[in-house]
Amino acid sequence: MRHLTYLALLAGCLVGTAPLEIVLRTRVYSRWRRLVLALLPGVALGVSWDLYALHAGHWSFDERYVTGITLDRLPIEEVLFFIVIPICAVLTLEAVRRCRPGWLPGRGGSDGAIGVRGPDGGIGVRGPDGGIGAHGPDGGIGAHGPDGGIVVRESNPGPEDPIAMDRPAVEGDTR
Amino acid sequence: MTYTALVEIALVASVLTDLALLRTKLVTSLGFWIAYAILTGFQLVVNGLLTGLRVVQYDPGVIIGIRIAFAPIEDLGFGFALILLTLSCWTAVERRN
Repeated sequence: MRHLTYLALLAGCLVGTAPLEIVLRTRVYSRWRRLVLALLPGVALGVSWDLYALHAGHWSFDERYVTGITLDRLPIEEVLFFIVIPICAVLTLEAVRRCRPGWLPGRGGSDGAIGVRGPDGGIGVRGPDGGIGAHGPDGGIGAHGPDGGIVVRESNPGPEDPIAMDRPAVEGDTR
Repeated sequence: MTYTALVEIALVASVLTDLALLRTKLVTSLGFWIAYAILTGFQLVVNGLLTGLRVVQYDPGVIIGIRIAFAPIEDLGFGFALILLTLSCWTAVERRN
């Protein structure tokens, strides 16, 4: 059992951070392709450094505490270390983001890409025009007034342009 | 080259990666430092176990000798560089999608 010591420590790290994905919905494992890409540089540099250090005698591993599976004398646990610890780091960062979005750059809101994509806003702005124009006949249903949000979303495609084109004509008349 | 010297290079390289290469600028955000503080707390435990149980042993000649929770202080720098590089890459990949 002692041989599993290091491996068990790593497993403990994964088990300990897993609730972040489930409870806080950090969506780290679910975006596994991005995760793999993000981990690659650390794994490559970390394993290279580790191999150098091992061969240069900077550190060594007690064979009693590792499985014995090695990669060029490097215990497999060390390779896993450079996968497990970075995963824990990403989970922690995303957990912080879930709790305090404004404390990190990016998706919190300042990121232009999100603002553009955030067409929730776009729908909101465009909606009223289209909604009124296209769903005019819905006036009767309009009795449900507060539900306007739903109507707005349905009317989003299309009907805005005619209205937009009408306007200049109206403004032209004022001249 | 000593472990100490390698850690110093890694620290500078990781910060430059974050600020200049990938421009993720995590070190300028509060969220990164909160995450790092949490991670460092757990690192001291895990690293403390690894070094305290002597799963991994260091050549005294390549470290300056200051230890925190059994582990050489260089391990903190190593951890910082690994965490910052990873989170910078994660942020950069995320931004691109």
